[in-house]
Amino acid sequence: MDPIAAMIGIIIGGVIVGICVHFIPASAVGAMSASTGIATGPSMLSAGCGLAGLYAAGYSIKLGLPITVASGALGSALMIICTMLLANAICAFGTGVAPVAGTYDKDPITGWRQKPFMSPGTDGHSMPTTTALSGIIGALLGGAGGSLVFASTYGMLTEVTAIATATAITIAGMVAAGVFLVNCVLPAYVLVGKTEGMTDPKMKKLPKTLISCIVASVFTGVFIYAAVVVI
Amino acid sequence: MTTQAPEPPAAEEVEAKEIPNIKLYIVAVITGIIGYYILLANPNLAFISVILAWPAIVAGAGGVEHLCRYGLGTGTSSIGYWGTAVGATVVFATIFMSSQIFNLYSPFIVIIAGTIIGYVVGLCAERIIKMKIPEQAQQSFIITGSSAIFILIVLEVLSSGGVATTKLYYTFPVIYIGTALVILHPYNGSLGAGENQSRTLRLACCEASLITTLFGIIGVLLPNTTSFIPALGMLIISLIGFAVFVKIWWKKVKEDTYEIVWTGYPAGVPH
Repeated sequence: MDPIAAMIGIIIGGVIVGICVHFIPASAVGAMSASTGIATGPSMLSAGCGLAGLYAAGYSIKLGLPITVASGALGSALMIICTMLLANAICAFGTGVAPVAGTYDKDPITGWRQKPFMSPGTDGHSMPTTTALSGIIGALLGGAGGSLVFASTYGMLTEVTAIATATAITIAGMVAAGVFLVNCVLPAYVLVGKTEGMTDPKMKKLPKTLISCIVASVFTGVFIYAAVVVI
Repeated sequence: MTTQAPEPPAAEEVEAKEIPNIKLYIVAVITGIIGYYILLANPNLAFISVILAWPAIVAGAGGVEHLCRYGLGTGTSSIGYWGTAVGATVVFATIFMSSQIFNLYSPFIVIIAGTIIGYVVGLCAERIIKMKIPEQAQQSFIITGSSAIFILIVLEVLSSGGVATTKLYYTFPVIYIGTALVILHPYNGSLGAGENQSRTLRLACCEASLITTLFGIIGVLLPNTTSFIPALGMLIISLIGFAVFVKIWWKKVKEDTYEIVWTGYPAGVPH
């Protein structure tokens, strides 16, 4: 891969990672079933699914960029689907609360009413259909973005240096994980620890995330390019 | 005759006693650069460099403490991983520089790049996202720069003077996650109403020596025999440091705690 194209890939991948965090439903108070979303911080959940995507992408790195990106996106989505399924099962059969969202009265996909099933004093529980779909979209974006960074870094390393394939994959994976974590913490600042995904009003703050992630990714991408290619 | 109890110090006085993190960072930068060049001169003196690398973890833990005091309670892990991600990415990318530049100017490149990226991201959070945390940009670059210095020295010890020439790449994940944990955990471990900088930073010293003990074990077990003596030195000095720091930290814990009671088995063990 051409080093300049790889640098642009790292920047675009970083920005996509930033966007993905807005779609993934996560909330710290979800641990007490007091809010819709998986019970952890949005950035850590996004990082978890993104790193799962990187593992999936690592196995298909030699099959070309499109397959690597698709593989990463699917690996990441699979991870979040399993997490949401189990979280919903625990809430439904363990805690005894139905999956309901606090930000809409009727589920836009199923049309099911939400408010009558919400416990008093809470903002919802676990993940209803639309919120779960939002999580899957977020994970697909996150996995694709992370894999794009991974494949771009790998392409840059194999083009410029003469290191072994296994070593290049290891280093590209670490750099991709680093870029992923840099870009998934900035949206967490915007979301302040809680989001319901694409139906959350905080989606309006997406431009702030976008600008921040572009700035952070440009600096990171240019530095990686400078270190590997120029110096 | 009754004696009046002394009034507790005001919050401003307590804060005034705290060491500014920027001072800790400057110390970490100076000791880190000295430690790096000691290693470059003689890799067998790694035990001195390791001692000089510990202030970096202390400064990074101080940065995490400052940021997380303003309501990033659930985000302590995020901020720790983020800071180390910048530092680690910078160090891992610099190993592709030509060996001459890497050996001579590496600490400066790593510190400057880590500081700039950390500052820019902190500035984005401060100006674009408008987080209401004072000195966010400054504290962000303290975390990123500190982790970069620490990871650089650890890699240099494990490679005994030549990162680009050894097959150390498989230790990158453990170095990255280990450093992230020791930077984020001191505040997380001391979190609570009575949290103070003194105790948090003492815990950071304990954890810094603990993680270098782990890296020492890894270095001893590496197939690359040139790193055996430096890693052994790191392991021994880290174990000694850990014993000393735990004693100091435990003394402070006892001072800050109302009472420590043994609740395990057998019952009635005195403290």
